[in-house]
Amino acid sequence: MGSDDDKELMEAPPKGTFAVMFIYGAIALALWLFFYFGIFLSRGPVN
Amino acid sequence: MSDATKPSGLALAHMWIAFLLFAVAALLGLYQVLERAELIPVWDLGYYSSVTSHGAIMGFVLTTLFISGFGYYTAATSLKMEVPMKGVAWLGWILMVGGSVLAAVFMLTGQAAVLFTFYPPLTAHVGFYIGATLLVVGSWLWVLVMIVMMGQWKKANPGQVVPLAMFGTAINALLWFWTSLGVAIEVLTQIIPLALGLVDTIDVGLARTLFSWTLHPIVYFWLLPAYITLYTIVPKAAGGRLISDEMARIAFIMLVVFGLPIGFHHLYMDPFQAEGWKILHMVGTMLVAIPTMITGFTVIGSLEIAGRLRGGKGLFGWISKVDWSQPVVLAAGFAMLMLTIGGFGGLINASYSLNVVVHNTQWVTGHFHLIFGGTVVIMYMGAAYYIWPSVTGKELASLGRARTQLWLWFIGMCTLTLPWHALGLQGQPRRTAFSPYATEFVQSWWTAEYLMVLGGAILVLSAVLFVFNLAIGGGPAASREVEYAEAVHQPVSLPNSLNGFTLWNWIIAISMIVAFGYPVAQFWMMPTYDPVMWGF
Repeated sequence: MGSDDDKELMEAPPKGTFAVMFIYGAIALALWLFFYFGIFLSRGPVN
Repeated sequence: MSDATKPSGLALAHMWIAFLLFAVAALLGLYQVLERAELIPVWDLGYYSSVTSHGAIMGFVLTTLFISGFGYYTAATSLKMEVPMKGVAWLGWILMVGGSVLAAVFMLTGQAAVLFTFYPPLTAHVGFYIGATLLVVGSWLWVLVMIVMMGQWKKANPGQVVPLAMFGTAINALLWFWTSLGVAIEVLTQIIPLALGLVDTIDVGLARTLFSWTLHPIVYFWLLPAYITLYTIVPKAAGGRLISDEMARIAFIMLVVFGLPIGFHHLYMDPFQAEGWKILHMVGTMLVAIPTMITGFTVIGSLEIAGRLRGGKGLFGWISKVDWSQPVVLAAGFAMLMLTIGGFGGLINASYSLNVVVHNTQWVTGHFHLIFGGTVVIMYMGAAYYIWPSVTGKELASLGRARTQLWLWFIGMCTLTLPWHALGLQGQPRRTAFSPYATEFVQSWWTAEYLMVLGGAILVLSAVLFVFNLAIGGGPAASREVEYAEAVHQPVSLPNSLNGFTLWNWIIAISMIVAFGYPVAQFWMMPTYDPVMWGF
């Protein structure tokens, strides 16, 4: 692969990384909401 | 660089002690899970002494010695200059090792079963605290050498960009100095006088407040060498470039500035700090997600570059093209996986309301083992495998065995910690030798507990194999040169704020006064009462 090709690859937006970060963020948000509504609130107040 | 500027002796002396004690601490961990699962006779004193030893060795000794040794190495190799003040550096090593041995004597003989968090009114033999103090004082000498070294380099290279590896190492030295002040004040002014019998009582609220000063940012002190490796070594080893040098510096700075004044999220359930202060610290804790996400983005982005340079196509096709055969790259992959799971656990811990669900349960143990044992330690292992040929002059005997060891560590850590998260949600308390209540309920934990034992056994196997891999030698002669990753656009000049720490030191000082000033001062402003007898 030529150095111009390498430069182009290195300067291209990291689409895969954006996708990985988005998926992780979505999973983390969904799990947090599950914890809040599904576990914390559903267990009720401390007696 | 000439061999004379290689800090091999200093680096090896620090790291060997760290790794040998690490193997001992791993064995103690196995003893603890065997006892918790009641597969061996319950022995309270043995268990709590072991918990103290395991935590203190892993959290204070392994980390401080590895970080110092790795720091000398990265400083000398990235600045291409000799470590100055060698006598001071070796004095620091003597104090750290001597202090660790002194503390270990009292931990291993059952005279210091106070957990590594020093929680009063539990009191250990004064020798334990003196040993811990010597360890910290020795580490401050490392801080001094790192700061002097960076100053000398900047003076000799005016206007030049400090190499990223050194920037990260020096800001970690700064972080450690600020971090360790809290526990130093607590131990010197409260705990040692109590252990010596000079005072009869101790203000537990003040002690825990001061320890919380140290308790959270110490995690970032542990983590920063892992991040330095992820930013400056992994992209190179993977055959790519760092996606952004400036982004890495910003992440280091944010981690230090945001990470220092947030310790009260360890005190959410403690009564002596008001809710407002806890919420302030909670906001700071959540801000740490920003540098963590920046790190995730930068490291994954750098791996994506490496994968695409090796022919990876599509949205995810680059992942399989990354050169995972390099131990440090494989370690980085595992570290990022465990950071994502452990990071989510931390998000739950840090949420003021949700914390009550998991507070002081085995969930917390699972969380910090994933962050520390997972992300931090596996990157220490990866970093050691990468630099070992350079410091010893010999290649590793077997890269395959190094990869096997890392796989075992990853599998063992997941097998150990994921059941702990489940047990924590069921309410299993942490730091208990046994659970002598609600027999039927406790029996429902057994499957998870046997998995925990299996995970612990795999981890011990991995720890021993790690030390063996480093000790065995036998590989061909290696180059003593070390190369750090270059950024896609290597900076040629930077503003002072990204090339030094003066501004950040002032910001840290102000934020620490804001976050801890009144919460500490209140202990002298509020009336206190004598303890009341139980039953009255």
